[in-house]
Amino acid sequence: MDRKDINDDEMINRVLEGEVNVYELLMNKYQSIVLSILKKRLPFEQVEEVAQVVFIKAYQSLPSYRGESPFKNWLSSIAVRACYDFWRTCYKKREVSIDSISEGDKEWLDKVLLEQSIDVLTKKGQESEAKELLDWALSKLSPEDKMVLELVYLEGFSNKETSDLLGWSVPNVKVRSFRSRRKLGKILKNLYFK
Amino acid sequence: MDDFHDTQKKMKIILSSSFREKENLKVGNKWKNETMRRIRNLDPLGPNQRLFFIFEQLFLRFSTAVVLVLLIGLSFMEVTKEYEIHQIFFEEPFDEFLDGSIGISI
Repeated sequence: MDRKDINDDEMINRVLEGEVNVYELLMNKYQSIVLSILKKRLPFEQVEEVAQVVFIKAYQSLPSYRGESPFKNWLSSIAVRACYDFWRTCYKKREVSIDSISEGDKEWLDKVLLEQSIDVLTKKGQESEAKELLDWALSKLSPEDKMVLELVYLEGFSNKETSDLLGWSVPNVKVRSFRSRRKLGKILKNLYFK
Repeated sequence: MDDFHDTQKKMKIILSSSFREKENLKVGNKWKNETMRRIRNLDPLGPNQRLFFIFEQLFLRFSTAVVLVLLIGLSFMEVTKEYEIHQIFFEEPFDEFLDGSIGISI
């Protein structure tokens, strides 16, 4: 049988029956989704280590997967929660906050905010100054606020989708989403209206 | 106020774009081999594991109820003075008990 012909359920059942090597097929199929989640949320040097944690955790939890949602969603949820765990650990060790952004980044932002075109602003967002600004702003938030803000505000997930990914209730996500956006607004306001 | 909202909208475009841009960073393949090596060192999964997980889920779901029932049960339990445990903790000083009954001197 061609490897591509095997569907997720069959692969999962074979792994559950003890065929460990079949898990590699699942990993190859879904690695891009997991890496995409991790690269956006974690420091780049941590991505590979957390990717290992995600796939090992998924393997160990495989017997609890009941197929109620697609495997992709189930795995994404594990990846998102791994990011949350990572930031909670950093937050406890107080390794998160970036004190300030450079004068160069502030000048860059002042210039960019004069732009009116969405395309230009989107392109400017791909520059290193924008990344530093984003990392600085997110470092000022708690892990909970950071996770919700990234999912709802930056990626455009609905409250329901966010609640499924994080395993929180929808009202909790709504409240967090509102508060985190307000906090981000204050952080940024202090920056560009100084 | 409009200026503020306009700036906020622009910031959202910039930050969202920066966030999505991180996706383009390239990651090697070494981690995959390492992951599979670590997984092969784990115990293989079997049908019993699935039963264990179902049991674990049931246990977690009902654990609060079980604790509550135990607490209510304990509150109705009558601890009489005849019980040796009562004497040890409430009547005899602990060091005397250890010295006298078990032979440990403090």
